[in-house]
Amino acid sequence: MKIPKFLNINCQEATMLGSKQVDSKLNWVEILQLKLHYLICKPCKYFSKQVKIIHSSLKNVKNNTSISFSDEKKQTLQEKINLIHKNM
Amino acid sequence: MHTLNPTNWVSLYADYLLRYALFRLNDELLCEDLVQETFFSALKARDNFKGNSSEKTWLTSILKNKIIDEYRKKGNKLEEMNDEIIYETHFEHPDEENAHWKMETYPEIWDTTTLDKMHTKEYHKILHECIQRLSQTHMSILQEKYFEESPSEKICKDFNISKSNYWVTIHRINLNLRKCLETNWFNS
Repeated sequence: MKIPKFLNINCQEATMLGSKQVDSKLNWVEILQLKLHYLICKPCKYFSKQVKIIHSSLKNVKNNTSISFSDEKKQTLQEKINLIHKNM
Repeated sequence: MHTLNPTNWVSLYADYLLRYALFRLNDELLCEDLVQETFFSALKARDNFKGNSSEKTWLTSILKNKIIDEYRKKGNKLEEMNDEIIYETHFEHPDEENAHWKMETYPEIWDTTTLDKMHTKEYHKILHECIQRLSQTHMSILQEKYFEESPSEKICKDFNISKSNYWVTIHRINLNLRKCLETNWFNS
């Protein structure tokens, strides 16, 4: 089967669309281009899966950082700030 | 018009700023110090605060500069990526009709047992190291996207880039992060 020229994309374009797909909706031409490309190219298919995994782990970086100052440190820090502030 | 109220700073912003710094530096003690210094610098520079932006934005920008100084201090320890060559590294004949993967950057299947360990401390450490190897611009964009959760329109405006440029940038960041994670986590 010969893919029509306008639907035939290379790996750079396919990974670009795969990357875009994580954040936004693709139009039907782009979706078709990707589907056809994946039929002949496994690495690009892996790429799009992996980018989705990375995307969700980046989102988690924020959610996972429940790290905070201890109450004690907070109090000391605010006292220092107040002291400098008062003497200004 | 915004005003400064230093007596509330710690309770309102300390934890936010700490997490902000940790996104880039992943060293808790160092980040705590930077947050403390941010407050002190802000007090000294309070006359420069014009009230055009919020207190939070102003304090964050001071912290950002401190983080960048920290990178400079580290100097050559981190090899910074050149954004322009990312396509060259990944594709034969980039920007041409036959832009296909280079053999050495071919994505491989990721091991599912390693995928299960993605919530561990070790994984986050490596993810952080990979983020820190990005260029300053890419790192800032990534932080605005994932930490500040800004929509793409705002990121384009803040960095003065077009929408298509934005997608190219995100694509390059993804190529880089994917390769770094594959080398240092999935296949190590």
